[in-house]
Amino acid sequence: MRAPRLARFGVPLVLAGLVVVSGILIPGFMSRSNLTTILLHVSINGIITLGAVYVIITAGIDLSVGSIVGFAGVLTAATLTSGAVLHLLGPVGAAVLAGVVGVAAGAAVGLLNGGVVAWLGVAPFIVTLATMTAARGAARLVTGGIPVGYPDPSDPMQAQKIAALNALHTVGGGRLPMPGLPTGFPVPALVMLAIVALGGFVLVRTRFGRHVYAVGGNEEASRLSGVAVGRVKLATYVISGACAGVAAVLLVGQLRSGGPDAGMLYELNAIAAAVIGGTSLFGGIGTAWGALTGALLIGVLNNGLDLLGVPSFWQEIAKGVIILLAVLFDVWMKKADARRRAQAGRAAAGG
Amino acid sequence: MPQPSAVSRSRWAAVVALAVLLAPTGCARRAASTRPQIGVTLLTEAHVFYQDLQRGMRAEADSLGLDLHVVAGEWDLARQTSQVENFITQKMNAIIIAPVDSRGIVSAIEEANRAKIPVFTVDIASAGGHVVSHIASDNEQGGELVGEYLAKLLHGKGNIAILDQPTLTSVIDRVRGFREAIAKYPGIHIVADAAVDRGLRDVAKNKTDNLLQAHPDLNAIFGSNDDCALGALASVRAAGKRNVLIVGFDATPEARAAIAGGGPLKADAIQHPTTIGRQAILTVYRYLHGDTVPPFVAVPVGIVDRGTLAQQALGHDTSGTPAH
Repeated sequence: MRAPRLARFGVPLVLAGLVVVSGILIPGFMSRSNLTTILLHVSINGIITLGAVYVIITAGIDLSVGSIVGFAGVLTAATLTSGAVLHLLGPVGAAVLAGVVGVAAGAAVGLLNGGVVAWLGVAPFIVTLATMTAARGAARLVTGGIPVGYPDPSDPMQAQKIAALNALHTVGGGRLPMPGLPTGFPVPALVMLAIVALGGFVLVRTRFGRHVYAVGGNEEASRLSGVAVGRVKLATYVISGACAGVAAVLLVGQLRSGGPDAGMLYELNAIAAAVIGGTSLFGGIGTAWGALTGALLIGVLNNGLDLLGVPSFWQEIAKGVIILLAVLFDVWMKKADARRRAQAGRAAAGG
Repeated sequence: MPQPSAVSRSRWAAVVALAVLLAPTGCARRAASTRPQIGVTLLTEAHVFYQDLQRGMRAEADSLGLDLHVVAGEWDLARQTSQVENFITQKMNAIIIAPVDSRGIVSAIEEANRAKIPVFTVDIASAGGHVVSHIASDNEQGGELVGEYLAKLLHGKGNIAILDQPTLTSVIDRVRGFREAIAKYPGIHIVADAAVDRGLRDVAKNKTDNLLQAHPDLNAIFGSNDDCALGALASVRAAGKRNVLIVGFDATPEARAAIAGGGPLKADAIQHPTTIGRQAILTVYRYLHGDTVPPFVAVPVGIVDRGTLAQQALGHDTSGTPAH
């Protein structure tokens, strides 16, 4: 008996519907350049969402990722435009080091989150709320509240600094030439697809991935069956922090600027995308594919509403309503699925 | 089978609901037009200044026959960059930006330069990229104007705090002008320069609460926008320090009412956002018609105090005395 797996297609169906409706209503929406622009705009949120999905599967939450984008971003930009680093490594070397610094800074905040959650047993909401506040403060402290990046014309090292910013820009704002795409394929989107594929592989195909689900499904049972619950949790926060760090590096590359206020409220976008993508806030359920579809849904909405020229206040309302409808639709699909399966079960038992 | 049909009905209800929600936004779009298409991304739409600016733009665009597409970055540089990229893919004839961040917007402007779409900035300048023309208030002159005014009120001596927004070029210019005016008075000291996050009123109030605590001998406060000035006013009133003088920037209706009421808020520099909006559209229009336009269009700033407001109430035509 083939069980209809409607549940898996709830959100992708809404996404497809949204794309079709937008394609009909909005001139230029379906153009190849616009579709690649959407992918570019989704990539930051998509990468953060993947990390969020890991944490949420363990029944945790990470509110600090938006602040990590700000904090890791200013460290990335500061490394990139530091006179000493430029002297020592040159523009390309500085860009590589800046990338490493950004990802490491994100992972370090994640390590702190995970350590306190796993070993001190403090609720994840509180721990990451604290690091969210502290990381934002640190980002502002490091920069004095002023975005780091494009040098003043009076700067004696202006040329080198611009060269370094341009070097990272080839990753964050670069486009790979591709046949049929006059503007090329955005590198950040490629990074996102690679990270989502890797993240999905780890979740489904590795022992660590199974442990992540086990911890979220039933923490006590997994502990009793020998899963190192603390270490698994710690790892998910490090992954989430590192993902936010990657997002920060890409953002600094794209904008050639690290603002202390960058990434404000990105944690909520990521959690929204994760939940839209079918991740359960109660833990145990969630996929990398879901992270991608959830982020895409939000990205298509943003793009469509902007192309329509909807005023920003209406955009916010429309986005809220559509997100709620998308999740409701998903719930209905899952109920339908459960009922059909129950019915199929009855039919099998009866006949 | 009653159960599945009930389920599929509710599923269709969701699809219909989505379609209904999207339909009116779709219908709102005009048919493809041959008029020049201008993409505008503002810093925010949740501020009277930008609402007035937008009103001026729309009025001028209507009379000149341009189509405007107005969105706002809402303080998020990444979002504003996305909006510029959207304008590029939509092949706008020109893009007008009120940048969220002067330095951060450079990449987006360069992207538009590569796509050969002319870029104009309003209110806040960009630190780089090729901008055809920047249309803004003469903020430095405005800061100087309120600085002079305040120095006279203080009779050349006292302690002043600034509620600053050091990430915005326009405010940096205002504060520079203000400091230059104050520097001529050796008896006046600037004792604090506090950064107000996003120039928001609640933040400004909290900052002022703390400033009053730290500097009990404070005589005056310069709010770098009206939310800063009005936040300071709320704080000063709550603390019962009615002798602390406040000057602000923008002369929003609320600030005018406070000035006319004769409280601690004494005067405001007044920008003319509607004029800036009109000038911006006019400049774009002239450029698209092959005229040469100046790289900077300075819109003069005036000052309003209780006297000018009373004159205005009597029907005299001034919305602020033009400076120079």
